[in-house]
Amino acid sequence: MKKLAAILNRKFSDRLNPVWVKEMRQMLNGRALLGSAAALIIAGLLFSYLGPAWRGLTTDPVFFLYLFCYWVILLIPVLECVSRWHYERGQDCLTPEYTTGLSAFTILNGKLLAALTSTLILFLIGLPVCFLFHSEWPFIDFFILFLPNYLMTVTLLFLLCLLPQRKKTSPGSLPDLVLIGLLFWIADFVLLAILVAHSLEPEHAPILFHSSLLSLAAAVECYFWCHARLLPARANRMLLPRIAGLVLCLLFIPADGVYSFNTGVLFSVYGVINILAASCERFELTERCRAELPKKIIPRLIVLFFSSGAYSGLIYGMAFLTAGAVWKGMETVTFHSVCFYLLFYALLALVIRRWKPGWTPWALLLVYAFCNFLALFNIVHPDGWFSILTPMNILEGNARLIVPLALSGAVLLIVLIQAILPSASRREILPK
Amino acid sequence: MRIRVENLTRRFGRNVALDHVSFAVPSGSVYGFVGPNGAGKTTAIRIMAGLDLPDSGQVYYDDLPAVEYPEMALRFIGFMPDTLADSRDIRVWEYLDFFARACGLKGAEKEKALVRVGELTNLENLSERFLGELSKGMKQQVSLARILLHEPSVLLLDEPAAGLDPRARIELRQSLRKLAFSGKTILISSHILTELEDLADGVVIIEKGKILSCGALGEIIADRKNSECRVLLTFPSAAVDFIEKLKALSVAQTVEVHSPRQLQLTLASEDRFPCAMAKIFQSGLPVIGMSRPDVGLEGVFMDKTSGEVQ
Repeated sequence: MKKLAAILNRKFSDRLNPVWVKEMRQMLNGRALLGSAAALIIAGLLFSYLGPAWRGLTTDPVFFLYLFCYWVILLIPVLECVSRWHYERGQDCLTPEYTTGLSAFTILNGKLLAALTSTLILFLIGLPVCFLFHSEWPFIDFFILFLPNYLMTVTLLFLLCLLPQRKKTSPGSLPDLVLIGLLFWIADFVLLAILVAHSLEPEHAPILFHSSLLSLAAAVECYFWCHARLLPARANRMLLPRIAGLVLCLLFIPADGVYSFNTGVLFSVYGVINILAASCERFELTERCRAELPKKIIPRLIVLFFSSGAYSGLIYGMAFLTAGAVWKGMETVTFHSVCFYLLFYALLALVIRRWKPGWTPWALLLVYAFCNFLALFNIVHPDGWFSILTPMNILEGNARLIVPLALSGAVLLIVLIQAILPSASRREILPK
Repeated sequence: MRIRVENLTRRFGRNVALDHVSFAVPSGSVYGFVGPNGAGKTTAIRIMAGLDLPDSGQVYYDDLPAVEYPEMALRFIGFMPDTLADSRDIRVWEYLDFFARACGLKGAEKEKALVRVGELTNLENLSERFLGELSKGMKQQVSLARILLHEPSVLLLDEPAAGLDPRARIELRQSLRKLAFSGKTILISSHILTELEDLADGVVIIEKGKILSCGALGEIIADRKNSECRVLLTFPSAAVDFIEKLKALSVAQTVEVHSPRQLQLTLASEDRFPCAMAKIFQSGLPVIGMSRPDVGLEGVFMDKTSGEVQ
């Protein structure tokens, strides 16, 4: 038996993701997965036996109790993974992994797959009992379809929180926190929307579909942000997350082109995330990034649009914000005003950062924002001269004109800045 | 593979951990990287291993710029941190197997590499033990085995002997000695200068983020030849009994009691050392041991550094 295991191990396991193999071995050496599986089997047997006995009363309480146990047990291996990653982060265990030739995708996929594999094993163990109650409870399909999606989002979020990035450079900790907060909000929104849609009106089914897609898109974007954290500091880290973001947002444009509130909001929220992230990034492209840019002007500008760096990030974010606001989205004036407030503050942060690095810009910005808040709401009338310090009134006045103008001005500025940057060749940097 | 560090600067807030640090380690040589606590050794080694980013400066392995392309440089580097982090629920063989896979080794090649590093670091009997159960010395051996799996040309060792008991230290030194003969370029950061002296061809001395001295050990020691030279002689019985006899030989400027069985001689210059020793041994004095506290890495280190911490 041992010989067979050794042969199988030699034949197949070398082809598998090394991080996944390691994580699975750790999981099997630990007690969480085996304990959870045993608990789930016992719970399944118990409820299968008790279910028919209680049928005289009603099936729902029994099934809900089982579902509750099922969900709690399903989360145990994910929490065990998270706890282990947290411990390893504290112990600086990832340092050796970062000094190997493992690619960022291999590390990320390995860890993600390990968490999902354990969840899937438990999910499958508990599934037969769900089908046992299938005829009694019509919403079972929803739980079976929704659960993996939800767990994937949650796992990704934990991954993003817990995987230490290679260097303390862009994307910094603030953008990560912003992203985590927003994605948690999206996940909660999706959960609530689905529950409400299922329990109330059947015509709310499109919301269910749309929300599930949104949750999935958030998970995919989150995956690319996690990947960016694991790339070398001087690499073009944000290229993939930004390309993925654009593609995902384009998928949410309705086929008939009719204005959808969700789509407009999605564009603007994603734009704001990127603007806030950009305000923390380094200003210039690294020598390595510049060396890897295409030489021809059009492809060069396209790649610059998606590249790491504060200027590129700002343009990218502004493009989304503008798309969200202009594309029949100005009905939601207050929402977009808030978005443009954030853009205004991000720009201000960048300007002050240029003048003084370190924590000073953020402190100045905080003081300014606080004073502004007081001035607007407590001291003067909103129409007073203080309101020119904020973009709210400008927007309400002539938004459709101001936004494209601001965008085109910023684009021109960035193009000029990037054009005067000396262009290094990759061949000049790397030895033959 | 040659290591070249150029103008590395790294700040942590107002504290300048590295201030335009430049040095080079020739291919195939073993260099000690020494300095007081807080001198910037670990920061420099982490940057060299691609784990931290300098504010300015570059690290070259031959001509490869490691700060820009750490992932390419890591193919040739083995970095051993001062402690092996505890990974939960993993056995020694599983841990090494993972790193062998991570380095792209497969099948028989992987098995061969695991056996090779196991033999080199005496880990054969520990393979089934969990990492968390190991002593610090054993963990350092595992850490050393890990970085040798892909046969790197450059080894960066950060305080490999820190916190080890004498036995573990001797075992680690034996492993390092084997490596020193294998032609790898090795940079060892260490506080234990006497041990480093046995292994190192050269030394880089750093203090307060600045390089004080760098070069081959022989050259650095030779720079001190014109200064006065101290010699410690050990006797089988009370050293006081031999003071007058030594003074009568007129080989040293001063003769003082250093410890109950040791006398310290101060010679006018390094050049007088061979002649003085010849005279002492010809006189028939029962000298059972001789050492020179000034010469060697310890002397150089004490001479160059002021012991200030940033």
